[in-house]
Amino acid sequence: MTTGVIEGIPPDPILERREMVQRVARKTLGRRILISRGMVALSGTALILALVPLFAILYSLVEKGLRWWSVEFFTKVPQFPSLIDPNAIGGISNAIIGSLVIDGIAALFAIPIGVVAGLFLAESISKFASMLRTTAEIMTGLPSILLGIFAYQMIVIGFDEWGVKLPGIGFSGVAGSFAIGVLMIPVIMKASETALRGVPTPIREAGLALGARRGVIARKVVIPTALPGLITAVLLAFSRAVGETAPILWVIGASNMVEWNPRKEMASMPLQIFESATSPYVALRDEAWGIALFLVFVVLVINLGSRLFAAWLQRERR
Amino acid sequence: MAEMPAGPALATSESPLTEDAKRFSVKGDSAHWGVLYGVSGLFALICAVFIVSIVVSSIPAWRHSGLSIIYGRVWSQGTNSFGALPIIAGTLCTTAIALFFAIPIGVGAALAIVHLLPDRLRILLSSLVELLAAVPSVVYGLWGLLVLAPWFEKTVEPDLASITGGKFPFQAPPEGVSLLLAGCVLFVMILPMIVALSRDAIAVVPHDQFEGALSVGATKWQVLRKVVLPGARTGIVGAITLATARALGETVAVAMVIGLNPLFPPSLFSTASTLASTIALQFQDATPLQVAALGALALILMAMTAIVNWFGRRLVRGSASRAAVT
Amino acid sequence: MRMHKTVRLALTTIAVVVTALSMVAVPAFARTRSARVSGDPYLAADTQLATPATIGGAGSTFAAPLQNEAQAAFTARNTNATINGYQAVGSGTGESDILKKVVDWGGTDVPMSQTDISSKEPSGDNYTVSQFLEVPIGLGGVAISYNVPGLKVKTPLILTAAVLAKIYAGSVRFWNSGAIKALNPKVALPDRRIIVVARADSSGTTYIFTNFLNNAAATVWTSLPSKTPLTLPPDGIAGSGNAGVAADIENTPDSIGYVEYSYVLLNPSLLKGVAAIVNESGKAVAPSAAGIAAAAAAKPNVTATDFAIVWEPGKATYPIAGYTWAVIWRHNQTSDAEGTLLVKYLDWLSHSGSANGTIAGQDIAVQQGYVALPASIQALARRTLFQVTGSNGQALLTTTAS
Repeated sequence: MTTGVIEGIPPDPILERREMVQRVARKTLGRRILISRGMVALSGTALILALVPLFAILYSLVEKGLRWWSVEFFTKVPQFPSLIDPNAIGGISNAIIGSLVIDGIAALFAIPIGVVAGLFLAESISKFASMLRTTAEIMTGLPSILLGIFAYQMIVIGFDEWGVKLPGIGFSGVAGSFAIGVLMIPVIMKASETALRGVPTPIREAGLALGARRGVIARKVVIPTALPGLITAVLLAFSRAVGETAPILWVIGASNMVEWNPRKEMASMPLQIFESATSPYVALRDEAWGIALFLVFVVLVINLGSRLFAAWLQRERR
Repeated sequence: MAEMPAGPALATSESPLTEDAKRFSVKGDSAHWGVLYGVSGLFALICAVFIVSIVVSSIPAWRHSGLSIIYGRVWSQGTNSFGALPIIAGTLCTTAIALFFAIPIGVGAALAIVHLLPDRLRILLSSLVELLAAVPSVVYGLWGLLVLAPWFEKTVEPDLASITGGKFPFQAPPEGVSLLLAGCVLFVMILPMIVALSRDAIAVVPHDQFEGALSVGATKWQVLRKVVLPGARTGIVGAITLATARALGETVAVAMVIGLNPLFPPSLFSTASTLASTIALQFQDATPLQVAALGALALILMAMTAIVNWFGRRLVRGSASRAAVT
Repeated sequence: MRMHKTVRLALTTIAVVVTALSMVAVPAFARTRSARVSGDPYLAADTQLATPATIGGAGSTFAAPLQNEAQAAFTARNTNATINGYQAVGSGTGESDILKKVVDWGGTDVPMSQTDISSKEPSGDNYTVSQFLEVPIGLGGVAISYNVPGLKVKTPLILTAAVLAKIYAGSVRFWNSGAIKALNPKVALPDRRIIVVARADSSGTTYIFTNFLNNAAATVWTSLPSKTPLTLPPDGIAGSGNAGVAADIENTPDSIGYVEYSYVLLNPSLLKGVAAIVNESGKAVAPSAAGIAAAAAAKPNVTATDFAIVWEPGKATYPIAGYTWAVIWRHNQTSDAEGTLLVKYLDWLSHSGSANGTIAGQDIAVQQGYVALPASIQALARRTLFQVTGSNGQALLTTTAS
């Protein structure tokens, strides 16, 4: 009791309050523990529920797709089944090469632009920089189909208005690269900005103290320090771009041969999955799983590889 | 900035020190800033052209149908009538279904991963979920079309229909491709995103706060509810915003499983259409006026994404100021 | 699991390098063409190309199975010819594409009219229909396919144009409604809703189907035939392309839809449900090569302006048949080499092989479930192709074969 053993000392409000709280706590303990256990169980259920569809997809992919993987699958060009030979479907070598070329060219121009723009965002405090940041946020949230429309109208068809004339080059791999590149740039921008901002200020200041100018500091100090984060950002953006279908849906045409020239029509893995899955040939619909498994495999390898690489770089530093 | 003390013999008019002084000033190093501004300007230009081209290309449609594009109920290319309300409804509906499942399950799973799992399992499951977030959307469409649709049509939809006895919202004959299926495919697609990002947000709530709350006698759930979730609120809201934007704009996976019917869907089992899938379907063969109408749809979609982003930022700002007070 | 960091690095590098190499090197060694057939008198004289060229087409899904096989066969015999994959995007898009000049030919089941051109041409251009040529390249039929589980019949359901029109308008809504029962008295039809499947995209197949409905049931189906997507009854499904419709019918019980006949042949499960349609002579005929050929024979003088062969008279005629066409520019818009390849390919495609056993496009069409173009139409195709002019106004097609 707060009045205590010793007579004559006035009751202490804080102690009183503490005793009251403890009393209530003791009374409600049973109920609170029950609720807590219940919610924890719900949380665990949520986790299991979250994992179920994901494992289901992986299982379907492996179960239906793995049997398509063969030397022929990776080396031959596709054939169309016919009524006399419904299982003659060849392989997907054209799609693999096409994806490589299209995504490679996209990365070639998107990565430098994205990283440099990210550096700009990290270093500049002008109004232009904050406007650019907002624009990048808007662009990352945009449906990628709009970029496909953009590439279609700029590059496939060409542009002939307001005094600006851009010849259209028809369906081509470059149109796809353009769409995917523009898709990648804002993602790389935002992630590089985060990585570059993560470089501690003392390191930058040390560079200034040694007499280096901003450009040199950026090139020789900031970027190398932020390299693990930058590489992760770039590779993650790239892995997302590899799987995009909507931007290249109408702009790369279709090709049943291995085509290295990006000015011509090409095939691409995500597009091939879409076409095969919606084609009238039963054998091709089944083959779509094999292509899907390979695409997921490639994406996962890039993801995993980027994390391992970044971790290795960081370890070296210590 | 460093400056060498002037020595006795440097008498040339263009002393290298003056040159350096110019470059050392805060605004100096014009080459560096030139490159930065140039590249950023190039990107800004591309974005500007992009957004302007969508706005401008949609003008003929607004002139033709005015605001009835937004509230009109008939979308028909044959008669050039452009009422996108059913399509907007389809978009909102599929996203709502996806979020309805993904938010509780995603955030709950993230909580479980961070606070209820032993170390090894946590790392394993986190990596798994993050890797799954990278699966391309066309694979979800493939799975939804070839695996989920038959299961829905044979089992799930009849079971759901028997709950309400064939009345709203389950009254149409089960077909497989439907609003519900598209919503569920979207749910599976945004789930890894929400789990991964929420997990990041929940993990950065300082462990001291967590332990401190436990030490005063709170149960685990009380701590989670009163300390962790509010602390992670910014990140979780950000995750949900991102996921919503993705769900609104998802094209290929939805187009494969929704049935592409631009009518108002009276039931969850009906076929429907979304803004992005309508654009994807009708764009290539559109007369100039129809292209404009699709541009208007694109504009509506962009506006919806912007509203979601703004809303998300409002929620985050609210919590930030509250955190500053406490 | 703590590996020495060098070991981990080595493993990672090996994994990355192996993956990268396998992704590049293995497909790069792919043989891109199968063996050439040499010594082919018809092709050697007329279809071998002097210089390498690449062309591509897009459009009608009606023609897609034919184009897929034919292109592969043609390029296998012709080292200088590359034909990009045929994009089966629908007749409407095929026409848009040829107007925008992003393809060399547009596949369509309905020859392009001036209305089509005026509505779809890029703004600022003023093309006329005389600037284009229509080459017939295929002959096929539109099958009415249904998927009614539990239907125990060995013979196809019998349907008329009037009933089909009512189904698509939404006034006949159940499988066991009076109209269908009257036509199929001995069949136990279920008491379930009919799920109507139609095309979601602009489609020549839709045009052929609606043309049939308009001709055969003009009082019920009053709207004119058109490529635009039909307004579906509630709970109808719209499929993208003939392939989409076929897949939707296959996956949706109690559904009915119209697809090009070879799509039914490609999907064995659809073969169980193909309707016999009552033709102009009153007989119920299921789609078949013979029925489609009879429809074509009933109207030998087809032209690009008078092209429909639906609802033709004859006891064995299948009433929903149609030609499919390739739309090309009269004055070739690309290089002479590409124009020459285009006319040679379309000429080969629209002809049957010579008597000495060479294979040409129409032989492949027969293999794919189409019907070979009648001789008069093959001649029409060649006459049309002779009108294609190159950069100097010269005719691009020169052939001495009959």
